[in-house]
Amino acid sequence: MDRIDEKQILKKAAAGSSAAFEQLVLRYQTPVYNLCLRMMGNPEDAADMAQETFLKAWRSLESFHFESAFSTWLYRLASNACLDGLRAAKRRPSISLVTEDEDGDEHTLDLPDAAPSPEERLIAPEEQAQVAAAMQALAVEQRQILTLRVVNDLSYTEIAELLGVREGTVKSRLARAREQLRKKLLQTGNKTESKSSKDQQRKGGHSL
Amino acid sequence: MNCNNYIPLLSAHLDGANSEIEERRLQEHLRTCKHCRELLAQMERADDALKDSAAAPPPDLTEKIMAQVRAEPKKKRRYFFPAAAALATAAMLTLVFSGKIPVLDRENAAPPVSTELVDTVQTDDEQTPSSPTQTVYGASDTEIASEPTETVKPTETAETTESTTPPSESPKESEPSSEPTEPPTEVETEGTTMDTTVGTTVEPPQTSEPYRPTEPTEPTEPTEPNEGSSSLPTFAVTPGNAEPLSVPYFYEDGTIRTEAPMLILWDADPSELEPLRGQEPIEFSEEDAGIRTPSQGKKDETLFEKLLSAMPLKKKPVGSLLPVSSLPSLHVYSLPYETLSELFESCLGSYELAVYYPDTLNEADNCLILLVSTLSASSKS
Repeated sequence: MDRIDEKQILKKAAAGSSAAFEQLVLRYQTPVYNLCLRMMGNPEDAADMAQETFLKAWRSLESFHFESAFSTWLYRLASNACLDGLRAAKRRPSISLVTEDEDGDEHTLDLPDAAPSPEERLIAPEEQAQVAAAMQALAVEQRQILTLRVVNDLSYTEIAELLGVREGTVKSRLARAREQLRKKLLQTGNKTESKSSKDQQRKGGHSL
Repeated sequence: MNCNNYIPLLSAHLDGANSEIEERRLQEHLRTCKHCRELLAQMERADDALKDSAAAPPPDLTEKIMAQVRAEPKKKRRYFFPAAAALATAAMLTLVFSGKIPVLDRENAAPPVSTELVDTVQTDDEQTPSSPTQTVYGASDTEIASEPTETVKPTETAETTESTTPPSESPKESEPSSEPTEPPTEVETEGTTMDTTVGTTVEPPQTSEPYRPTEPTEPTEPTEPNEGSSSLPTFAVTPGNAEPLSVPYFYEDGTIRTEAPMLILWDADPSELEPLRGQEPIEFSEEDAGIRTPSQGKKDETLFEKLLSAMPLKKKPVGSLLPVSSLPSLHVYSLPYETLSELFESCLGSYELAVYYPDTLNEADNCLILLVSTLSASSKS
């Protein structure tokens, strides 16, 4: 889909054609999902945020005036959705995992192990799991900028526009993010996958 | 120089973002610094691992997104029409009606109302000559109420056509306007002003404010047609709180209540329309449809007879009713809104179309009736 085709499709979608919008979804769902995955840290929340992103895009498509690339605009929506989602998750009260029985003795709730199962660890390449864990150890802004540049292949200019910063800032933030990722990857260990925010609510887990 | 100072250059090197001077400086440093060479290699491996760990989205993600999108209130449609030069055959039918073109507005949804056939006589008094293929059926010296929000201007694409032609002298079909029919008693009558256009031009609303339907009004009083002109029926359609795909109900007085988007194929072959593959037409009897025999008086003229008047299929004497046997084929479908939209776009340029929108919304899809015919201007005589 070249730029001209995309423009025509965007116009149709903005005019109300869900069929045209679906073409955009098919085109951008993978990079949007990956951005959300890295920012949210788990597939469940990533899928929710991706859905929310596209729904927001559908609702506000008429406000897109081709001043930037559609992808830039879409990733901005995704980033904002994820940041809002993360902030909301932080605000949720944490529930104590410790209960008291009738005698007043404390017991810790027995929660299912959220670590990858043996089968999952065998299936998922170790390196992928390490990358995921290392990324989760970074600040969300670092996860965001690394995903935008390395996974979604946005240029410094596009990232600068998306984040509303200068290109020099993009350059320095990327450098810090890469350095941090490099350091985390050098640390070996079994980091568990982060629980989805829903799981944490249901199970009374800790907040993000 | 401290190696930490080279970290930004190492990172930018991976992106090809160093200036010429910066890159030269970095290369000079790398020639002598093993530590930084190792840092660069680690950064490169981290980048590759990150790229390789890109995940595929869940297989049902698109489906879930589109389900939410389709559940959203429909946007005001702006149609892109093929250029006049591209219209090869049938004339684009332009039926212009009074009232505003509605912008979907849930908040002002009116309660369910049946459709009403209101005879009004309206044309656009600002029509300008354009495509020779355009025709306004039955319109001659009539005027339409023009509202700022319903004016249309050509879009910027090459696919738009100019505004409608001026009303042409059409064969006289001077049936006097009938009285608006009473709505069925069990149905509230509100907001029956209908808004339809199948224009060949479309433009965004001229105001920046979203259009909000006017307060419910009484059905428009029929006006006497000018001498020598024919009345065009105006259809008021307001959706009920609908099950999608419910069967339209044809009242005895010829009005239609439809609770779902509806397609009326008027003398068009459904097998030629791709979006209809797999769709089943609605079964209804001629009685249901209010198609009456010629023996019945004109006062009882049914909806479809009025359609006949508006879209003459063949020459008929003024004041006569076509016998049932000469009626065109009629296929009625209840379709999802998206299928109807798809059909509309695929029919452009090849069929004559009339589109009827409700002017209020409810929780269901925006209900409309699409009328499709293979009539061409040349068949009118």
